[in-house]
Amino acid sequence: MKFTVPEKLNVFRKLLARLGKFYYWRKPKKINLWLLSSMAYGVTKKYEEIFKGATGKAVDTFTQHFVNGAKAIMFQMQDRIKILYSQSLEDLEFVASIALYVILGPNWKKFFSQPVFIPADRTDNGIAQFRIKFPICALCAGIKPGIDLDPQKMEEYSYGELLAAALAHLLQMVQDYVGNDYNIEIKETKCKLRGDSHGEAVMFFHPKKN
Amino acid sequence: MTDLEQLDDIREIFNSEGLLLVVKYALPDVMAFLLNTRGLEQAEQDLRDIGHTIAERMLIIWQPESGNPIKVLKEIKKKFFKKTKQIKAKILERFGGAPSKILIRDKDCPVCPEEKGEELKISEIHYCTSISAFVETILNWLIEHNRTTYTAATCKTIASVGSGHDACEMIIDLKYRG
Repeated sequence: MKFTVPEKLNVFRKLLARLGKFYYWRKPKKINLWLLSSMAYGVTKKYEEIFKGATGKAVDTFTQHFVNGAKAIMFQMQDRIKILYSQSLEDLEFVASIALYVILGPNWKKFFSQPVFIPADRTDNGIAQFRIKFPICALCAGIKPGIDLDPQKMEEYSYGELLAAALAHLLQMVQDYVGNDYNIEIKETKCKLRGDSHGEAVMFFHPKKN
Repeated sequence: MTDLEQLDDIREIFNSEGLLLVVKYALPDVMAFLLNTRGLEQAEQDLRDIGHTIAERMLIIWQPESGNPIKVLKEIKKKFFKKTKQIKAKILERFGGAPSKILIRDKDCPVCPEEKGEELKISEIHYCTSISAFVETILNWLIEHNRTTYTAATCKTIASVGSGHDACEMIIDLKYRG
């Protein structure tokens, strides 16, 4: 049966997704989240050593490796989850919340706020945005700035951006699949390691130039 | 942020879980990067270093319930890798009745690829060698905190599914006084 991408997700598809997320969370093998966070830290510290103290380069390289992994998962699951795809950017709030549930289970709301989409006509620069806050950053927690990782040496890169970067690539895959011409750029606007009260990442939907 | 607030956040994270698939899919790029930039021997050592660092961070919030290495391994699998199958252990040698060499066999390694064809083409490096370094750090922490009868512990991965073996295997060597 040929799959047609709808303009907007209807009630039936959303209901299917709400039910499906329980199955996709409960069935697979899990890892303790602190252990996962510790793995990310362990690998980043090793990369920092390999890059002779260049923390920014270490963070960026590991983010790329992690995102490649996330993309491979998405690619493998695409046939099962494309029922969630639509052309509407507004639907991405719903899609992102389902994806976060599938990856982190019901506790995802402890680590991410409900993602908020801001249409292009309501932003200062005319670029549609997708904002997501991290009340607790699963990556930055327990890291002593300047001792464990030095934010000054991260340059423009952000350690806590890892999961949001994976999410941004997921949303990019959706956009590419449904035929929307956007390049998604992610920027970490707030970071606990840099002294903010919470983390925040913004995804910008830049229209592709023909 | 105070240390106490940090600890509250760590506790929340420790009491949560994520998909293990995330690790399995991210690791091949990490392995390829280490092998390409560091070579076989150094990559193996790097994986062990990573395992030590991970264990040190785990010990911020968690302490094993038992000093028995087999029970420690079973606790790690049960608590941190839910829905994976338990390890099997075989005592190979004893010292005065106490185990001094233990073979651990894991047919459901949390790190190694699950699907055939995703193994490393190089068998000299063990894909999940960071796990033996992780366990070694935990056992040495138990020794430092006087919770064991053994006085030294070393762990070495000798086979891994990710490197083309049938199961992941590690040897735990324990030393006793006297």
